[in-house]
Amino acid sequence: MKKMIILMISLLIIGSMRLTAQSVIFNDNTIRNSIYMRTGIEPASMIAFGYQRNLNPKFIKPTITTFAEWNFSAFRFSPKNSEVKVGGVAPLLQKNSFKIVNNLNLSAGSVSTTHFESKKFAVADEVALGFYKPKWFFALTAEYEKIYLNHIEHTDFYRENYYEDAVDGWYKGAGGMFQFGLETGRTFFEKYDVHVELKVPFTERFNSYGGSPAHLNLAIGYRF
Amino acid sequence: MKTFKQIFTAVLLILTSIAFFGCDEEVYDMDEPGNLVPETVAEDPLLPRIEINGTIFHAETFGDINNPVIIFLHGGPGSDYRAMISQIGVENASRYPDERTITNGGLSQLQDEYFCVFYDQRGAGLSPRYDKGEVNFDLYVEDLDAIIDYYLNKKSRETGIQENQVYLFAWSYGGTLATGYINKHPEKVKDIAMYEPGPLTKEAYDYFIEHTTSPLTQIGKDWLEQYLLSHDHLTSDAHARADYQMLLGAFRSNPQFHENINCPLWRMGTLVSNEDLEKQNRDNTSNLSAFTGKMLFISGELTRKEYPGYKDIQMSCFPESEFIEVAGVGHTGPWEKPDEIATDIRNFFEHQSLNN
Repeated sequence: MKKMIILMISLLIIGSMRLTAQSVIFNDNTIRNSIYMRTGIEPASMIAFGYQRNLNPKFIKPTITTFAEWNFSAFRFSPKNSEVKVGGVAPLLQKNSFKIVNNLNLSAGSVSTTHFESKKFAVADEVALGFYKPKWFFALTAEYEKIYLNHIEHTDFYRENYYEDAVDGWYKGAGGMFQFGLETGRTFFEKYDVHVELKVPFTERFNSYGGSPAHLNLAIGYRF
Repeated sequence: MKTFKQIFTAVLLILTSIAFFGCDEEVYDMDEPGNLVPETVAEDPLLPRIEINGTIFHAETFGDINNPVIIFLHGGPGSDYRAMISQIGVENASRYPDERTITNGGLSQLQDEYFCVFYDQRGAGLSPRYDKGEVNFDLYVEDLDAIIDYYLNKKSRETGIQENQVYLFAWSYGGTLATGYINKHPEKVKDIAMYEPGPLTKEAYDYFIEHTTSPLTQIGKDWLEQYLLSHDHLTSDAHARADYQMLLGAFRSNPQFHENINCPLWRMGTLVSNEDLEKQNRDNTSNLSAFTGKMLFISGELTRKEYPGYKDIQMSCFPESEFIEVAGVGHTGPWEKPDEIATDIRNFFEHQSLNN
């Protein structure tokens, strides 16, 4: 088990050093950094704070935008109900302003409920197909996220009222989800980004996700 | 070159760490029953059961079979009978009868005068799981009929007493099921007591929906945030995960029910609860005029105030009915005030027997 923890932590470290970003600053080679704030429903109401940085490694031709963000439940604002996500965005294919863009990210999250506390580790990949102009973009997106590992501890409340023999520990098999949607964004005054995305979630077996019928996000960013 | 060095260092760190640390902790499977939610009778041989109508039910009886039979119908759909044999302020009933410290808790206290039969409906509680589309209202009515026959035959075999009727007690969705049953088999039920039955008619259903706040208006409520946040940590593709996740809304999702969140249950059969068994049965009252017994409608004071016109719509379905209100409780009244409600049930059934 420890191997898996270490593996996850290490992957997160790698991710934070190497991987990507959320919006379109990869489209602009003149800037290096951006900070952003994102809010919306995903699947609960959330607010995220993030940082992105463009990298131009010599051994890879396109610019890679790395990002790291920390998102919190808006109504249960606490590190116990938050998620750290690191990743990278890079164009896979481009022809003029049409691009296919890949966003690979890793996440580690925590949730605290009256029944259990869970820590989860997941990996997600999103592919976006769209038109990316210097001041705006529009893309269709498809994303898959797989939850690889959870650590679950049950509360006394859960044991007393529902299941006294509930097992605490590391769990596999939490499943995964697909999201299909669209996103668009525009840059104002060369430094300010506004980014909106709407996604419809399904479980990995294409059943109803069971929570919010759609995920909606609004992000604002500042380039520097 | 600097970036390449960083990657190389990190990979080296991973490999060294994996080689250094051992793997000594078990990783459990969320979908395996018994980890997050209890096993059903299909997996746990220690649970009490009966085999009827081509399936196994989690079921148990209390009291002397020489006494009149009461069949208890739990709510949901998808819940179980734990709350009917437990009561506030004492230890919740264990799923293993031998491990209980109290053997006449909740409404099972009626065992001193009645033979009390509790069972978890098909796909619900500790009865075996069924997949989507495998249960329906007619099957639930068939199951109930088979259970009634089973215990009346058992009584006849063991005591020589020939009876062809039982009493029913039904809570919430159990009331919808019971009414559907009486509509089909009016001759097999002496009398029925219901605690806040689910809608019995389309009119009652519409009234109920009109007076019930949508969960969408509860954005920001703690239970809903917990429920939504949990989707980031597990998806509901499999039975155990779905049951586990659904429980986060149990006794919280409708503030107008005034439910006590400490009310216990063993397992919420989520796939059954999503089968819309209530809507399938909006009109199950067309033959209730053939029912010669009487219906007792029991309501918690708090719920009645939220739905002031509900009882009249519901009671008008039965040829004869009575109403009793229990002060200071809502939809979980039978768990919060079982002594008072047991007395109401006892008095009602005894009074009816004397009149007959």
